[in-house]
Amino acid sequence: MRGIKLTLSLTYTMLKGNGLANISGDSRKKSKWVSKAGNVILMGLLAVYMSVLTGVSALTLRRLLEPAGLHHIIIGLYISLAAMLIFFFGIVYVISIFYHSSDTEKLLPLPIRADTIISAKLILTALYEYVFVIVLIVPPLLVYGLAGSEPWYYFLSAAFVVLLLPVIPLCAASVIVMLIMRFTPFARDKDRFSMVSGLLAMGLALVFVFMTQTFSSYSQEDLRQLLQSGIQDLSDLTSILFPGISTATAALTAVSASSALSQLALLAVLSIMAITVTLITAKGVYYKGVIGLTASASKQMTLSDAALREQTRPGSAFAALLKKDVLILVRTPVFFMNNVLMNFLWPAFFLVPFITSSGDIGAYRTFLDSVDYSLFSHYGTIFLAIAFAVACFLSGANGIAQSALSREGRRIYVMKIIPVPYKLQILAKITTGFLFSMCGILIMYILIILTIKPDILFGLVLLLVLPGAAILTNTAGILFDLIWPKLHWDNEQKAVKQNMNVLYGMLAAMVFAAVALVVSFAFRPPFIYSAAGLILIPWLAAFALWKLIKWMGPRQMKLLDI
Amino acid sequence: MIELNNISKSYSKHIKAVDSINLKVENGEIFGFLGPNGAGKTTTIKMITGILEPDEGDIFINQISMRKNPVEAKRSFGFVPDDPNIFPRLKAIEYLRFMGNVYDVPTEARSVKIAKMAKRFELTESLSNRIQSFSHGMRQKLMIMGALLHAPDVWILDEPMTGLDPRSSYQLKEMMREHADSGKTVFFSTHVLDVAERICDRVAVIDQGHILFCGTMEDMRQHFHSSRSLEDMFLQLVEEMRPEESGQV
Repeated sequence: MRGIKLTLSLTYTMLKGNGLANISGDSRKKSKWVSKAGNVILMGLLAVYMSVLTGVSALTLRRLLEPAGLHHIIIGLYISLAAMLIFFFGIVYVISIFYHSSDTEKLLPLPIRADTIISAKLILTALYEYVFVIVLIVPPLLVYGLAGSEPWYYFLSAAFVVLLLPVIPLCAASVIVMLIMRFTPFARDKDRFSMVSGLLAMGLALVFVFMTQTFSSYSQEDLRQLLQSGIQDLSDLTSILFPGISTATAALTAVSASSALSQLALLAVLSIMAITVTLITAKGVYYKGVIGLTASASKQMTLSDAALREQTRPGSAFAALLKKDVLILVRTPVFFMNNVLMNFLWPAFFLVPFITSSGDIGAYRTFLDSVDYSLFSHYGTIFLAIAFAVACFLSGANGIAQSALSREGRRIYVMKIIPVPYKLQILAKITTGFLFSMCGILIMYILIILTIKPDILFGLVLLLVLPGAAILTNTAGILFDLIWPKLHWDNEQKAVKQNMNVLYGMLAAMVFAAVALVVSFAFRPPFIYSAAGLILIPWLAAFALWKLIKWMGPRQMKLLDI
Repeated sequence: MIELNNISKSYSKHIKAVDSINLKVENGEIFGFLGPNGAGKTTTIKMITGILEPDEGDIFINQISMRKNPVEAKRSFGFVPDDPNIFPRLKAIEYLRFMGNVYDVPTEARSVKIAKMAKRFELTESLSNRIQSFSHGMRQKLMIMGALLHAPDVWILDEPMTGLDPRSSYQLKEMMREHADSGKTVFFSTHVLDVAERICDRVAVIDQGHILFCGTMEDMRQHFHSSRSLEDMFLQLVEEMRPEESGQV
């Protein structure tokens, strides 16, 4: 009894200190509540959107498969998909909550058994998974049952299945992670883990977009056949990976109440067995895996005189500031995922539809292929404005300039003590943003050239137009961070994710994009004027903003107190 | 040389964190800046290093005004902060190169100096590692290396002994002495009165934004007509300045 009380008390404490109860981290009380309410509303809207999406997908699939009498396989599809996703997200959650969360180090010296800590952390992880399960599996099961007027025991089974479904995949993830952390050094590096898991998640998102586009070009009959064989393969795989998950499907597709109940009982027994195995594993390996995790080992290596000279060779202060910013952006997982990777992902997201050439987008592509991209073409003018607008969006979305000072946090004092004029330091930060923006913009440019194959002169004009978007958005972006830098944060996420300056910078970028589009569509200037305007005006505007920054920046920097 | 002329700083309308301070730290001396928590030590150091701008007065580093010529004045000092957790994802050698470039340290001097200081602080084998893999003490030593790389005339340290092992602490004290003996200035704040007593040529005691005492240890003993330890004299000085508080207790 005392063990259960301790477990629940630990769970509550961890919950209070973790994301679910601590969505926002702003130190000021009023803005904390405003930010919290904003996040809750945003998450609520996202949950409603996802629920509608999964519910509608279940209805569509049922209508597609019902004529062939195959609609029951939908249950297998959702259960298998949910189990797989719970497992994959479980791996990430378990590494993060069991090993890398800040409370772990504080719990270790306390006289608490490993299985008690793991029980509490398992409950916490399950709570995160339930949020996910409610959005992913409840709407389809409900829609499926209501659309087919399923009997009462279907809904009862559905309630139990929702409750028990995360247990087995989550326990499987926990056992695998505990064994990996005990016997292999890979996942012990927190930075490396964050980088790899983030890249995997981005990769999955890209695959999802690609597959959605591919499926939309299939005929109904092709899709039916594909679904039937695909679902069967998926169900077989999940039955092997998570023994017992098939009982959830069996309970939901049972033809009688007694059969459903017996399958549910079996699922409950298997779930209890999974928890027992997890706790036994925890007793054996958890402490050995987690102890010493925060003390990062490093190689001891003496630099030769030549290497030391090479690695300390002189350079300008501007180059030093630029390099420092670039290295920190690339090496800090949160900054890398939010600021750097975005530059490479957005072009891919934009262009996947054009590459797959499916459905309505195929028609757009045909249209784009027919456009005359020459110096005096009217469509060329419009396309130039669209490309400039997309470049503005890409550049504004990376948030690098908008969080340039915020990312320094309390270390901003270094900017104040070094003998480098503030305007040069700010220029280095704008340049960092410009360089990363240009990476994304150049990828977009190359993909545009490869996909729509414009003539050489048009391609050259486009190449001259796009950097203007990058310089204008980055110069405007840093203004927001100079005025309202968010320096008081305890984890890096807050500098870039919970920073309104990033949003303001994106809005400014959208305004620049909108101005270019409106002028091009409304006034339809000749191509030569349009090109000259899009090349010169952004640079002139950026120059004017730079004049303002040169005047305002040092004053703002002097006012900053940490 | 550091010179503070009538320096004041307030965070609210009524309370002055630092109130009209005048202080002169000469070349060739180690100057200890002492005071209880919230006395105004950190605010003063922040103003000397340019992190904060004084509301009134001016600060001169080697006779260069922080107000009129801040960039040139900043070139003259090296600063070791109390929190050494900066740029954890840079490698130690990258941090030192950054400091070398920012302070424009000549090529030959920087590699020789880095090698020499790394050997002294036993960091030679760790220069290629990221700062985040360093212990608190190692980070503190790296900050010291960064601050001294450009051989500054003035060396400012905020609570420098925190986190250092006895050997490193001893070495730091030696380095401070060598710096002062070469005709340069060392200014540091500390809570560790023993250290101040042992290595400082002069000390200043600050409380509630005012300098209560400034002079040599001998001056302080004469002031109190006593041969007691610095700790005893420090406590008496601070208590004397707070009669109403001591009366309440």
